[in-house]
Amino acid sequence: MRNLWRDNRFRVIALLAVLALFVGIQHNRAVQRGATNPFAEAVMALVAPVQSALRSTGDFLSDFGYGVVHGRRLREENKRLRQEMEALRAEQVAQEELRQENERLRRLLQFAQTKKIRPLVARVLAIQPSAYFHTLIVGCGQAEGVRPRMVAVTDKGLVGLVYMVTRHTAHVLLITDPNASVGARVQRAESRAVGVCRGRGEDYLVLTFLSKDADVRPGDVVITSGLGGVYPAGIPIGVVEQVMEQRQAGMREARIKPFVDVTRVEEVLLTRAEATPQ
Amino acid sequence: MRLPAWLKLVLLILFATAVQAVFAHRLRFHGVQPDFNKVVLICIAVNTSVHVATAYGFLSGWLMGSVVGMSVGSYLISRMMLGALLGLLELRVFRHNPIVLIFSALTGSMLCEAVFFLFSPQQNVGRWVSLAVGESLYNLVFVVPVSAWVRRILPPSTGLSYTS
Repeated sequence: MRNLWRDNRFRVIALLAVLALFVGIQHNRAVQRGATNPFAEAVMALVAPVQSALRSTGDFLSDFGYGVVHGRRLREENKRLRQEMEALRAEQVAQEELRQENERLRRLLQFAQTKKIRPLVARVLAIQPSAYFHTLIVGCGQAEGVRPRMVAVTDKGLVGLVYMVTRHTAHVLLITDPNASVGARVQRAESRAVGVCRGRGEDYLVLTFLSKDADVRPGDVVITSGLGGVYPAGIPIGVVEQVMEQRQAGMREARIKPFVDVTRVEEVLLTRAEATPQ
Repeated sequence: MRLPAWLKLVLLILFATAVQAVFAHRLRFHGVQPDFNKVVLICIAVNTSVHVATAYGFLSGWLMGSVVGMSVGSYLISRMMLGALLGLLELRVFRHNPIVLIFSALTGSMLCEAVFFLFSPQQNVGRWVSLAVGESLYNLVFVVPVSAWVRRILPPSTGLSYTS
């Protein structure tokens, strides 16, 4: 067997090359159809448990290390926080009334919204395995109801879009990836300028296709426009940092700082485009 | 139970891929992060023959492509070529010299990125160049210790013509 393996070394290489082409083509076709890819399924079934265990261990060690390094400061902070807590307790009583009112209104709002919505909370297993692609892997997949083109959000804002699903994991393309683009709108009532937010592979986005007289200013909040039907309207994306003139194209562009720092995301909410947020 | 060397190396690549997905972004410096999957592949490839290294390159590319979920074919081809190129050194240079190892890792890593770029062109070429060069240099930090570990796994008697 060993000799057979050694004597046919170039046939082995040729066979592997053909297999590589087959796997690559099969993967692309599966992703385009939105189907589950059996090869990726097999790999993720092997890798995901290891990732999950490493993530838990890493979080524990990180917390432990932080406690050791910052012990004294944490004690002082603890004392200060206890004092603050006493003051906040009094305020909490007043807040409770407001909370209950909010709860009642929320139930009414949920009742009014479509029943098709079933958001899923998914734990982040891996972040940006490759420097070229800005992606996340989350620990929910087809078995839990995740489908391609679901939208990933956190309480702060938009994270990205599900582009590949296996049985118990899903891959999310982050809005900062160069392949990502989101229909966007300036939230300010006097502006409501519409454009497309594009990733640059950096930690900022660029709002493009703004008309040359679009009213966009630094500090403006940018939200999803809902145009295109992929992302629901009204999800916060980020804040305008800088506005640039594109004289050749006769358009304006704006540099956007996303609300969500993807390197610190621990859980995401996955939902469908039909789900219109508050 | 004693695991065969090939299985230990397969498990090592699997572990490196999981570490890459979970921890690599925490080691990010100016947008550049190490690629543990590739580091392990380089260390295996310089210690084995051409077809074995190509097979590990296939596994490495498959794992990495599946974890990233994009450009699977590009990962497969570029890592297989990296494995094959470094495996070919068996016939030409004494690969156990640390200088040869570092030089092979640097040039191999950059060639791998160039092949990847050919199959999956990036929009921003300048950014790609800085990431490719930065990552190749960053990988060197891990190549020598990982190579020492890989050589402990490989049976010493097989030496340069290890084929199992």
